[in-house]
Amino acid sequence: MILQSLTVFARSGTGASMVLVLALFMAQSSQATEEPRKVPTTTRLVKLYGELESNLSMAILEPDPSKIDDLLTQDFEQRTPLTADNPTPRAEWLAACSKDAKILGAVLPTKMAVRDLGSSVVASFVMVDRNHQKQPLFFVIDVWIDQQGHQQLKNRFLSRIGDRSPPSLCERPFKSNEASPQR
Amino acid sequence: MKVQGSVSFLLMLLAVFICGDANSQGLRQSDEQDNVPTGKGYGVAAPSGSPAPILDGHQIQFHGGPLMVGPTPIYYIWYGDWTKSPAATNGILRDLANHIGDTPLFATNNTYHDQEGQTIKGPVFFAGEVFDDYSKGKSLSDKDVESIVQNALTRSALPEDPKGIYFVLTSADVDETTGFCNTYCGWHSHMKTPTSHIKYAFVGDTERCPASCQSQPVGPNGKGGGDGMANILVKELLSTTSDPELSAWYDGKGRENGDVCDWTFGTTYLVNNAKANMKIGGRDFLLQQNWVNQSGAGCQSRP
Repeated sequence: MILQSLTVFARSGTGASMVLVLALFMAQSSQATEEPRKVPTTTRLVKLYGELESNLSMAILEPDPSKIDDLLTQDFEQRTPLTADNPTPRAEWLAACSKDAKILGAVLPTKMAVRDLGSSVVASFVMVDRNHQKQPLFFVIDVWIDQQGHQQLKNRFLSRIGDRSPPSLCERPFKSNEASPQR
Repeated sequence: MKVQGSVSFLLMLLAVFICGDANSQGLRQSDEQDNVPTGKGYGVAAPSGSPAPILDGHQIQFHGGPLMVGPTPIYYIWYGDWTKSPAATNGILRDLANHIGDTPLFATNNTYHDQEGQTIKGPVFFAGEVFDDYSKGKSLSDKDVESIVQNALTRSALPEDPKGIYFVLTSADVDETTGFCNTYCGWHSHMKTPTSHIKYAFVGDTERCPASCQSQPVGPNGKGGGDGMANILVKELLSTTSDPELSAWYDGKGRENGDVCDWTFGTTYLVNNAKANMKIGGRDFLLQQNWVNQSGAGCQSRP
């Protein structure tokens, strides 16, 4: 149909119209150069660490101290863009997670990628609202290490996505002698 | 006068474009609760116009698109350098293509049907292969994979077969930069050519990342990525035949039949110090289970 239209306009001899039609034709053609939609088979590690992330969230929400100890190193810390030099340590992170239980229970990890670095594994993912999955909330990078055969989370780097995200997740309250975060 | 006529025609043409685009976007507005199989091993929120399920299966829904009921020829495009890989890999995957259609595992797809009630029966058979010596380099995009298939068809190295599935099999030194080894081990897609509608899949050599894409370091057929690739290839075959255009069978999370059962194998036995769960054409394999679309069924290796 496009080629037929071009022929008609070529015969009509209207230059401006030709340019417009060519622009439309090129717009259509550019759609054909987009990356193809695909359905992938997730890696074994994406499945494994996806389950570990889920287990950790469940352990915090229950709460189950024994499971938490299994999955979280004693020196765990969380850093965010606003607390890059002042991370939230383990105990305060767990306390803050309990306060944020409603948010923690409502998010779902998506778009997970897992890179095996040998002694550690880096998992990155986007937390979305479980009920409104078009809404990305946080981008997370987790560093897991192998502790005598079982995996433990050692570092979490978390940043908000967009203005509609909750202001924080599992972040300790700022003390009075600290500068207020500018959000 | 001529200009007025041209402008009117242009407006008409624009209307046709707009209508055509609206039609191509499908049947309904988006629903944030529904996902479609467009993500990296998980569903993503359905874009506007995604087809609504027209039939509830058993925890998986039919969305009205076509299926590949068979016969299903399989074509291999060996990309990269396969001279350095264990020679067994080529043989393992050829044998697999010739016999997988006769297995109880493939018969699990018989529980999926199209609009006319036809189920996926096969037969599946190995129909041809071609070697591609890094025509797109060692670092591929998804679009490059599509081009590799197109090139094989354009130069008539393989026939253009809308009933077939083209597998691009990359050697261990080739990266697929959109997430091979970190997010996925393989994927399937489809494309339209001027005369046909082609279904194709990517499966990389799992030796590139055994921890991510192999269920065990050495498989029942020995060293190399042959066993790991066999597992991914069969998963893609089962998913492609039941959802070739990403518009047929998938669940509310955007997962196809095989996705639900990723890396679950059921009962295994030991052979050559490796785990296996089925014998196919004289070889032992460890192949993941498939979602059986029957009441109370779940992930199984047979219907």
